[in-house]
Amino acid sequence: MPVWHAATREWVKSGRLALLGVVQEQHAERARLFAQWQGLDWPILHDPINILRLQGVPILVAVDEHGVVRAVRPDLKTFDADFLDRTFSDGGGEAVALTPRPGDIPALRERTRANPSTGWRALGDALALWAGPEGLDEAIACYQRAVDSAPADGDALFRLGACHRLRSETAGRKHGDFQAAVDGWSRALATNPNQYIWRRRIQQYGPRLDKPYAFYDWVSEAAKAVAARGETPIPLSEPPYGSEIAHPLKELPQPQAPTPPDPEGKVNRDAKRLIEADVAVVPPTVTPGQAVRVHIVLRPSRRAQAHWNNEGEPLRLLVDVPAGWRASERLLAAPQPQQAETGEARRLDFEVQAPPDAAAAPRLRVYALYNVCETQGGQCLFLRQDLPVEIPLRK
Amino acid sequence: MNVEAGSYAPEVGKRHPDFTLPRADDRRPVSLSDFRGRKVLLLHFASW
Repeated sequence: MPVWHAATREWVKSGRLALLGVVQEQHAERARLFAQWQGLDWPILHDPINILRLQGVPILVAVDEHGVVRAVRPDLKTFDADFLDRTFSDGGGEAVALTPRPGDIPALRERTRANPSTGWRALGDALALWAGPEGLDEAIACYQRAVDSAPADGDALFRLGACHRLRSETAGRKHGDFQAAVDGWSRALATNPNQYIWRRRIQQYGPRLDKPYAFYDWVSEAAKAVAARGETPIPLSEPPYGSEIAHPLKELPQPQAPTPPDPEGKVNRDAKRLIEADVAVVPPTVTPGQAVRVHIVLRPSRRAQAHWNNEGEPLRLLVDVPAGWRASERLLAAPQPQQAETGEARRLDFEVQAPPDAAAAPRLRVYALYNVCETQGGQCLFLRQDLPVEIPLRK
Repeated sequence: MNVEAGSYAPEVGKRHPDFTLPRADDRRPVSLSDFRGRKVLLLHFASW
């Protein structure tokens, strides 16, 4: 694509050609940073739910002045002679719309009554694209109804997952949203294993053994390059972390067992749930010999007005697996900000590999140790939370 | 309004189906049909 961007600059400047991008990406900000870094100065449209049903990217399509397709994957060498220099006549047939428009939501609500089997997915699409974070609850409910009526509707399953993941990043998140996202994507992929966009969404968060490349390792390089030009990099509200920037591996490391910091379980448990934990396993099941990535997100409870106390030891996570199973890390620590008290989400992820002869789902022993305060200026405690990590075995 | 989508498979000589999506920068809706009268190179890509 950078080749086309560079090669078409003069044609765009002279008005002979318009470039229009469509990016398959959950996070619009990441797409904007990518465009800023690469100097892509043409309009880029955001398709967070793959509503265009692309099976893969990149795809370039030359569309003439009448809206008729003249080339798919055009040849740059002959692009001007074959496309730009020619005048085309109309005759491409009737135009259909692939997507709802913002004003279609009321009509689509009506349509769910007339045609529930496809109506719920269509309404979900409109809400997911146009209703913002406030529309995600209803979009999820619509996709769920679509899936209930057509369990093999891979598009609805994928978009259900996408909306759960989007909601997990908002203040309106619900417990289990991330795992529900992964479940939706995995069920979608089971309906069509050749769907590259869906597969990549799982691999983005999945184990390094099943990763084709590091998905977002370019982000830090892009931010540095943009800043070096004297510009302010587009800020990311969800910076990529862990699996999103991890490079592929052929074999998991075998870390030594750490000295457990609370071997007898004497540290008081977080009975009031001052820290709320959310666990997601990607993919949602493990097959013998394969690996999963376990994501653990810990957040101070808003209900309890809790916050991290950063004056003590950083948050630690202990991982213990049964004999024969491998964990990529056994002791993880979260970075700790400079401020004495903060309320951010802390994300830790690690990988677990099943032995080739695995016969039963593992019982993982995972616990977190952290310093937390109940209210601003209130009581501060050093607490432990045992985390339920279940990895169903699929044979 | 026709929101039934088939798999994305643009065919040479056929009209490209119209679509409307939000711009990544300011969320304004933009349609392919907004470009009618101009030659367009449509680039589908990912930032991962």
